[in-house]
Amino acid sequence: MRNVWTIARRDFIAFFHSAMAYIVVSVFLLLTNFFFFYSFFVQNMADVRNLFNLISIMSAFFAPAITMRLIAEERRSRSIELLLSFPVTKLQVVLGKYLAAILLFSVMLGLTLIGPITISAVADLDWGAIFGSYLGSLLLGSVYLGIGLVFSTVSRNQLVAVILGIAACLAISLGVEFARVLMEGAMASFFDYLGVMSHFRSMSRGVIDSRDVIYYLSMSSFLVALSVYLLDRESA
Amino acid sequence: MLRVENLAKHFDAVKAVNHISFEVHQGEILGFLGPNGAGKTTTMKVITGYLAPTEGRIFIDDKDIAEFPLDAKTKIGYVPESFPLYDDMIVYDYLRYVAKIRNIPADKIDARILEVGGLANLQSVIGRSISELSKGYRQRVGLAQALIHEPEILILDEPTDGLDPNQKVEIRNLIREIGKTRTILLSTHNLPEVQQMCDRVVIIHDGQIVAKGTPEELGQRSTGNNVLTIELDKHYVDAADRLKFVDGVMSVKPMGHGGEDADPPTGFTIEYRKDAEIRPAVFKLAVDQSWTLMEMHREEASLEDIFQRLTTN
Repeated sequence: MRNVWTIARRDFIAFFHSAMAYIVVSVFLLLTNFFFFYSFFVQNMADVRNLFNLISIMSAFFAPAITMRLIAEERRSRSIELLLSFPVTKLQVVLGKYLAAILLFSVMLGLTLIGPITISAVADLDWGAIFGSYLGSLLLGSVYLGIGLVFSTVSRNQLVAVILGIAACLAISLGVEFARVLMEGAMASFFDYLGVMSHFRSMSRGVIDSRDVIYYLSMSSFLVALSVYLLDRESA
Repeated sequence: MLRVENLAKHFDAVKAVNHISFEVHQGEILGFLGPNGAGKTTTMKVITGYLAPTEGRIFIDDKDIAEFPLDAKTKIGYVPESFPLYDDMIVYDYLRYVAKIRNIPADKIDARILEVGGLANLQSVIGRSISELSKGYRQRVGLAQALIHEPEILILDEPTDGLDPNQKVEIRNLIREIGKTRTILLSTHNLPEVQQMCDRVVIIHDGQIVAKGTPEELGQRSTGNNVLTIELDKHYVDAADRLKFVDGVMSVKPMGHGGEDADPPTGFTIEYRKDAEIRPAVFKLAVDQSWTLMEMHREEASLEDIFQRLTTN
């Protein structure tokens, strides 16, 4: 809907009006590329899988950083009161901000292409796997962004939002992985499905399984709905 | 065109708004008057759709805003308390953003920005970042965004809050000007403002309406009597007694602290009947008694008086 796009556009541009976007993107790229290339030459193989493992971990930290001010800041400055007096629905507001966050995240992801492209100049890479990995990274990132959005909605304080967001993202990835290793049988496969990492792993092999895509889209939808519900509770 | 019916808003145990009903008629400027914490802002947040009412209904043009929320919001222009804006945007960009969200057709947007910018005197700051603006300009940007879609009703929460006296005058004139073609509901705890700008007043206290009417009507309701204060050149022992005999005088009280060490009073507060005019008689009395009248000041029944009486427990 047009309103979603109007809001998304404004919030996306707003990222670049503060130092936020520049810092988050550049530090993300710096750290990711540093750690990747640190071990890359030692390996002596044209294999970029490590890059995506790094991206998936970094995302857990940087996605909440992107989303932290989306709604928390509006509530703190009370501009949310004015925004919600416009002829827009709460869903449009949440979707608009979510979309802005995803766009920024995509820019960040896109810039990591510089690694694979450089490497492909001297070696053959499995671009199918790389495509699957990027798609998986985007979907994974969207879930992390969704989590960050939820915390931005409930806290007035950006710092609280980012810390809780990171904690939740780590819980749903590494935490679940940990649980899965400890559990056996049915519980293990329950955690296997619930966690974001197993789906990411299968996508990085280059296999775009609809089950994985559906998982990510369902999680994202759930988180958006949760944000709308929490925003609604504010005014009830 | 705006009707509030039996509105109540509770926050857990706190009854911020406790069953109020009032109407704003087409084309009038209604002042929502009350001390801080009375429930003015909460009421406005419900009318503009930010909060949902605990009880009661609100109608805009006879349509329930709970049933037709988007329709209602299209008709309203709102400037919340402290005029919150997006500090990271330039004034022009901000107005453009609001215009788009307000569904103004793309080819009309620039014209509308020009118009509201002119009305709110934003020409000199249109290209500046909002974070750089003074409070007065922020307020005007707030007004501009509220007007950009030509709403039927403007809702202004403490529009002169925090402005310096010159800015206050400017904004009041602007609001009166806007009020000629639009309905306005504004809230304030500033009494002179109400008398200068509003056609009607609703006084609210502790979440309930305590008075409704025009400023004149309310003023007349205050005391039954008027007050005349006079100051003589020195203390005359029989002054108070003689003054009491002037036709229409109800009571004479000396001004000053009283007490044993205090100077004997040279001034008096004379309460007299509303319909009486005692000034010529007092003047003549002073002349007859060879008192020198230094000062004579009449205080009429005022809005201030009734406000104080209705809103202090």
